[in-house]
Amino acid sequence: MGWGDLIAQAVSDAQNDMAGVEAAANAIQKAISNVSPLLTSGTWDGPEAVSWIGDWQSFYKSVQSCLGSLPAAEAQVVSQVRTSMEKEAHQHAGQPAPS
Amino acid sequence: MGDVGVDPDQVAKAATALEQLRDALAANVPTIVNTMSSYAAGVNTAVLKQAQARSVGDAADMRARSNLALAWMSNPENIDGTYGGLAFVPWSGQALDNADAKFEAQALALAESSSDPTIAAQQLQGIEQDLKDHMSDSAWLGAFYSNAAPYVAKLATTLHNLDANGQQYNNRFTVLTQSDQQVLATFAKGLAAADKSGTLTPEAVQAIANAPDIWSAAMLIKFGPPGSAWATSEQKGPQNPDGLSLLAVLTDNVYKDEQTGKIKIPLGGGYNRYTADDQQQLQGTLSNYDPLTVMLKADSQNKNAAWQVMGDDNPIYGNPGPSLAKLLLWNTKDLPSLTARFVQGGPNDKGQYPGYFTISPAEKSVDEATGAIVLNFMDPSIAGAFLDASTSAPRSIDPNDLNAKYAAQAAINIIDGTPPASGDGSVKLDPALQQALTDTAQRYLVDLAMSVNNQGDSTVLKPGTQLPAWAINVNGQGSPNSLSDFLNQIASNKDDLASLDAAAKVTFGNIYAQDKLGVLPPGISKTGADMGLAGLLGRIDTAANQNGIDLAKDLDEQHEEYNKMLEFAESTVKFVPVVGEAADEYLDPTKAMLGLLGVSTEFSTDNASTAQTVAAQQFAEESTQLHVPMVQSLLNFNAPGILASAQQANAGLPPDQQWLQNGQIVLTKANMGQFNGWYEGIAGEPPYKLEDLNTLYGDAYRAQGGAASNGAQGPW
Repeated sequence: MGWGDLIAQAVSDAQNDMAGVEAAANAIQKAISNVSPLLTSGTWDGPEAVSWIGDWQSFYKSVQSCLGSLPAAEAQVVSQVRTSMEKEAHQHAGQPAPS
Repeated sequence: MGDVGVDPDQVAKAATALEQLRDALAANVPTIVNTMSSYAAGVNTAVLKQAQARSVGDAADMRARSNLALAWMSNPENIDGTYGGLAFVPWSGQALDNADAKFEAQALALAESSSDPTIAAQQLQGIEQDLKDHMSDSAWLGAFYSNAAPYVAKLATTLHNLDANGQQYNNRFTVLTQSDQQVLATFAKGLAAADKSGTLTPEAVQAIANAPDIWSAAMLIKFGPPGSAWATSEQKGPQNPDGLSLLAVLTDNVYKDEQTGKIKIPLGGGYNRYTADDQQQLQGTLSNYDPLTVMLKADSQNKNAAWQVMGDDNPIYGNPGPSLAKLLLWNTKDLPSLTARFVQGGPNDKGQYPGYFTISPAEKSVDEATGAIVLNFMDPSIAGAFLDASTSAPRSIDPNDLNAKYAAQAAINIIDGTPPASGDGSVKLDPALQQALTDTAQRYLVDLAMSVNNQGDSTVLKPGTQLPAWAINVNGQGSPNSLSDFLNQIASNKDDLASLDAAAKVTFGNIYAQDKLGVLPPGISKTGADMGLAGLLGRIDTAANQNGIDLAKDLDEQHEEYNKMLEFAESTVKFVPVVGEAADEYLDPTKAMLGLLGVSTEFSTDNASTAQTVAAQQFAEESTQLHVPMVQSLLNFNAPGILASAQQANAGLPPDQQWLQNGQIVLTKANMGQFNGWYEGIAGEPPYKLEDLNTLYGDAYRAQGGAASNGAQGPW
């Protein structure tokens, strides 16, 4: 296996891992979106319930924010893997790739 | 906070959605966190872990509201209160916890009374999930078990009836399925947590510990967490005036019901006679579900429960200690270690469709018109660990310390219940049981010594009566007498005999020296402990002789045996000198008294180093002949003149013949002659007049039958 193959393999592995992260994030997003429509004033009344809804929505807003930041981070991870591997290949130019 | 009006249908949907969110977070958050962390992606995922943790409570609370809303709507009393299709339920906090826990308790009752196994299983699954969601919520657990305890107590039997259909041939060895065991484990874990946190009401404790189906209640202990996870005491009440732990009261009742033949283990039910090929598996299955074995194992892990079962003689609990000790120590008219017989079916049933095995106590004849009869031999390691634990409470000078009192009573029950190893009615016990005896003897060594002339019954003595601490006075005279039988059993094992002899000599040396120097703590000086120990050594020698062991010969002439004795003493370094768990808990001057009672005040319990091991071996070596620990004790207590004399005797000797090293007597074959020569020179000198043992202690030794030597310098 040459350096080119090695780089491609590392990038592919990272892409697969990030795809797994994305799928996990989507599953959570979907579950959150299933809850949200039910937390309405038609489900209950009273200040305690309203307060709880506000707290829940505020908290899960931060969760969704975190999940929303993942795609950019995933792309950066793949990019960093590619850059790192290419740098290593450059440093070891002319030498056989590690098996 | 007042109740909140909720739409039952919508809340049910919200509960389902929140449960799905909980599951989605549990399944996916670890993937995100671990993967991004492995690439050092710099993403802060803390909020995801917070969401995963929070989602459990959110889902559980919403499900609780949903359950309560449905219950509210179905309650006819609320028909007039319905407004706009809303039900009114507590929203959060203790009010919600209490209402939900009560609801789940009622659901458990309904599930147990269901005639449809499928529906019952579904209901139980829902309650179990709610229980898991609240496992760290002690308030919820307390509320749940306080309402559900009677149903939790009979859960094992319910599960058996639901799942282990005895009519099916393949179920003939099934008491509880794997699934049943998992359910029980969850309910037991919650019960233990509530118990340990003190949130169980006295009524709930009684509902478990005094359950009509005591076998079922005991299965919670079998499949629950270790005994150490359960409470050590409960609130006092009319049925539990001494505040004994749930484990202890349950054990008391299991034992009582086993003795009266009230306990049934559910198994089988078809007209399938157990064949000869089935016997081994049948015996294994039934023994595995013996509730007494289950309880004793947990009690030994809990320790307090073992003290209470064996030591609380309040009749309201049945005072099982004396007879239980005899049963576990093979001191019955039945087969050794046999604790019960499992008898298929009831009288005249002949084993046809009974579906259960009754536990029939040892020594009781069994109706022959029954089905299969299976013998139950209790594992000696379980019985030994329980008995050993029962006397392990720290000794105490506090008259209000009931733990010390219970342990003292337990020690009496064990000593009185021990059969002799030689002579009429003798039986040689399993090593695990003998270990319990030896440990008990060493915990109460001075007490045994002061019992050698006691012609009365064995009794517990309050602090200040004979010793400064809770103490025991054992029946020591008469034929037979408890002390002789007890020592006889210990002496039947050379390992235990050597350990006890060495410990007695070390203790004797300490008391002798402190008496001579006038530093014996108050409360012990007038009790004749030194004379008692001399007498005890005589009784140990007598017991050894009864078992065909010549202490003098073993020590003087059989070098291999001598080395073995050192090895034994070393192996019991915690006793010679004793390193007791209690030592660090006591302050001076109590320490001095505890030292005399065999509880070390010199060594910590958690840093047994090589140096200590070496010191222990040296200590053991020094201890093998009585005059050696006597001299060492004088040195330890800075007896005027002794150290100077010893140093002078060592000065100028070749290194291999010097027997005094840093104030310690270190004997070897090479220096033994030098030491003995010095000792003979000072033995008759005032003020210590060590040769007094020739007359004073020697007489006490011989009066108790000691004959290994003449009581002078030498191996007695």
